[in-house]
Amino acid sequence: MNFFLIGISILFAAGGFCVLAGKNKKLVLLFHVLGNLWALIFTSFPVFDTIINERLHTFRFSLGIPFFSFSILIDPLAAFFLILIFFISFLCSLYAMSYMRSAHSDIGWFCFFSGLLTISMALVVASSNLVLFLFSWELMSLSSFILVNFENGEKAVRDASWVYIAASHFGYVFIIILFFLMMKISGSVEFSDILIGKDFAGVVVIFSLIGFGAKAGFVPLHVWLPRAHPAAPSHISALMSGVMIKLGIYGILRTFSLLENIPVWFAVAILAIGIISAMAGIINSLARQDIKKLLAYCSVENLGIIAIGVGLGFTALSLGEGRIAIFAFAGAVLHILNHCLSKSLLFFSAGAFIKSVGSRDIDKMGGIIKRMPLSGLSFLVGSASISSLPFFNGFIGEFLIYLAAVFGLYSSSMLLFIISVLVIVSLSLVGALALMCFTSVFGVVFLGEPRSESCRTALEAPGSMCFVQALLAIICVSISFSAFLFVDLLMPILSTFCRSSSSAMYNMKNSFNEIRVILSILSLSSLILFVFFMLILFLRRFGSRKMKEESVCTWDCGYAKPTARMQYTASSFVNPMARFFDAVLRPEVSRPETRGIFPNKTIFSFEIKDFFERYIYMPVISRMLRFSTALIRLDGAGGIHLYIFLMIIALVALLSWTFTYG
Amino acid sequence: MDKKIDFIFDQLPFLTAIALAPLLSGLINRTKAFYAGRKGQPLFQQYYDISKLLKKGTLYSRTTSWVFRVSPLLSLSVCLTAIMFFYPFGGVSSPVSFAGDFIFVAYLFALSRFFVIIAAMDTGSSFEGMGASREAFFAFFAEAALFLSFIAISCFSRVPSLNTMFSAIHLSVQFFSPYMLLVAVALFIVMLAENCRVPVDDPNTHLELTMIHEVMVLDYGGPDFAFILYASALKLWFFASMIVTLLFPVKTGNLLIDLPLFLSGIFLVAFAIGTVESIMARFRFEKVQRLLIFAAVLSAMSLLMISFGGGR
Repeated sequence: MNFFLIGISILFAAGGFCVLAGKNKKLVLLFHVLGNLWALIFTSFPVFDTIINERLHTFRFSLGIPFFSFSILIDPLAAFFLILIFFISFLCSLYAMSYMRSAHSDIGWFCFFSGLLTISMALVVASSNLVLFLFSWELMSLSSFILVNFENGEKAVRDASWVYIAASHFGYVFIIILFFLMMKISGSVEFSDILIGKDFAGVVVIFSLIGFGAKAGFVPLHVWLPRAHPAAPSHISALMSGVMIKLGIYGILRTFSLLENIPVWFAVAILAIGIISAMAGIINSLARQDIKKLLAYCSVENLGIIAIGVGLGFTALSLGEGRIAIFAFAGAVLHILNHCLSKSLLFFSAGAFIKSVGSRDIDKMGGIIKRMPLSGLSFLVGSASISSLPFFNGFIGEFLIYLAAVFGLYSSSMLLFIISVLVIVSLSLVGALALMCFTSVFGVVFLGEPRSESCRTALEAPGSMCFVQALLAIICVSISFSAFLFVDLLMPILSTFCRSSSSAMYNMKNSFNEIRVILSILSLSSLILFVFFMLILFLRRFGSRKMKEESVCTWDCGYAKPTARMQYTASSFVNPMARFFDAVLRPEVSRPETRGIFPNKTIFSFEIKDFFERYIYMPVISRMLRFSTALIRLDGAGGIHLYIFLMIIALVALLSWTFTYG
Repeated sequence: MDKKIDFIFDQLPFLTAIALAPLLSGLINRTKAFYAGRKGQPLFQQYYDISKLLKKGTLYSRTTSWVFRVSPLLSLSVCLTAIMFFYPFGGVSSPVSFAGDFIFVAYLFALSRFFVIIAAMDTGSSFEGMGASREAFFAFFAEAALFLSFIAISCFSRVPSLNTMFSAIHLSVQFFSPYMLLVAVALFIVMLAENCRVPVDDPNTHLELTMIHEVMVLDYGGPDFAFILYASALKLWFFASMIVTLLFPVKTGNLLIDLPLFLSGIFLVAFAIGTVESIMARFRFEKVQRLLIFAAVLSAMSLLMISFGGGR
């Protein structure tokens, strides 16, 4: 246990050194990497001990403050998330070595808060005291807010940070209420002592879905994601998208583990949220030209897929279908891992080409793969993985969720049957859309002819950025082949949050044997594909040794002098699909008419705003603003007296409420 | 010696597929020629084409990168792998099979589609980009129809793997059962879309602007193009054999009876494709998505009938 604290303290101390090193960028970044490295090493002792030996690590230190104690519990679920947190943080710090080298402002504090974000995420996951959890959760939101706001010279960045902090606190309010409710119900502040009965299950589920859903980016609480990600530096986006938003899922799983049983309709509600998030996320993602916005929406999609797995699992669990539940949960947990890896990879590669091209607009790029071969290959691996194609890791988690739904087809429960059909169809549609989205991004950014001068002269990312990308790409491919080796390790993780209904879980071991066998044949099949590929490659190379190979220009209907701007852009590529989803995307097109023989110069513009932002948030917010301006106008009439009057009214109302019900 | 022969017999479905797949295109063309009152190409035209292309050199556009060269090899290996999952006759089990492998196979085709699309974008040609865009767009609808058909069949036979769920459909169980008839029609439409046949795509058109799949491979030549032709022949064979298994579920378990029956079934499917191509024109693009949604609805109806109408 102490190793965990030592790791965290080292990271914190390294942050302090970063601040002290101040202007010396090399030293700051070195401290940052070393801090993260040692934190990774030290924390992996208790973490792997927990996962492999299923031993719980606890630490408790009471400060004499009521309700609060510094108590930490590393159980398998926490350990799983701790691995992700420290591993990705370490990669981010390594990436920052090259990426932040050219940052214009002082990066000492930046690295400090980056370390603090890691520490607070680790504490969120490891804390077993409700108040400590709330404290670390807020610390996490604040430190990530500062990181998002790093390049605050731009107005867009400042706006994005405000939206982000507002959204986090919107969720935070619900979490606070939820935790006070749990404290009240169970009379305890430790997660391990809380068990919530049937009567309160509904309230707890709703509050946790809103509170943690705001962090996880479930639709319609996702609006901060596509704003915060473009604003933040790329490796911070990787950390936030890869790890931080998954803590929303962690919160939901942790809260659900405290429930005696989950009412089936709430489980179905999670599933519905998942399906809506996945569809809305990927449809929005299609129509974006800003690469980081696109990736942010794609995170919404993937968190939706995870929610589908979790929701399907809990539905099956409450209907007594243990086997289906285990498949779905295993799929969801694997998808958390896989999305974490592939999304960080995508953000890392995106950061690399954004930095060397100097733009986030997909349609202005092209042909970069010739200039940045490694970043291109990594982005390809990331895209294929995020589109959950076989041979890459993203497929495995989604496949297990699919499989759970396929077993659900044979279930005697009509509800489960209908849900399974919905899950399979929506997953397949989401898959097809993701394929369109990422072929478009990869094809337009990396392939074809360069659409701007900066693409023609782009340079491959420097050392550490390349190393991080290559490492993650290798991990992504190798997980798809080796998943069956470590899938058993998921068992203790699953039993952490499924403890509420142990009766359905007795066949966990059998189901996991089944999963292992299926995944091993799956790996074998990927291997067959690989062998066929190598065989054909060999035949191709061997057979055409003596044959002529010539370089010519592209056959463009015989048109030999096309310019790079004539190529299909991402907008034109996804246009049929975007038009199909017109009802959801609602593009704002301004197409000024041209009149006369010599028309004036006009500008065509095409903008897509988020549906929920436009039709839910904006009206509500503008109404609230109108209301508060009205109050301020009253201020002119009554001045400070009015405020005092309002306060007294509020006080009296609260007091009378307390006396009546309290 | 006996074991060796047994092994070869067990792998006969695979061997038949790789040997006879290019024949389908010849049959389709002969059918079309028959309707048009022409003599038509030789039956083995595609074999000649492939062998001619294999002997040729290649031209690569200067715009392209390694992605362009990898794609045809990958789509051929995907088709070969997919065929190993589905042995439609002779009562033999496929060499690889696991629960949910139909999802894997569907995603294998998606993997190949992913690479074909990015290879088309790799050329920088706007025509190929257009074709790629259409391919990805129609794949969205075809995917839904394909998955719904698969789960309808899986629901009907109550097993989750491709080979077993198809082989559970016996003549004795259901002859021309309405459930499977609907699914077969849906799969037929998906097959037309996935293999770029009329009315979705016209493989014989000479105008790049109206093509889908053919325009994406415009820049290929030589052995690469031979691989592409062969891969699409294998894919057509894969889909056709699914339809044969649904419509003529004769499974005696005896190869000598099953093989000719199966082959005649496949040839009938080829004849049907040729007929469709002769009597129909290619749809407008807006109409294609409606056709595919229609296919999805057909298989959804079959699924509903199976689950609520006593099929389950």
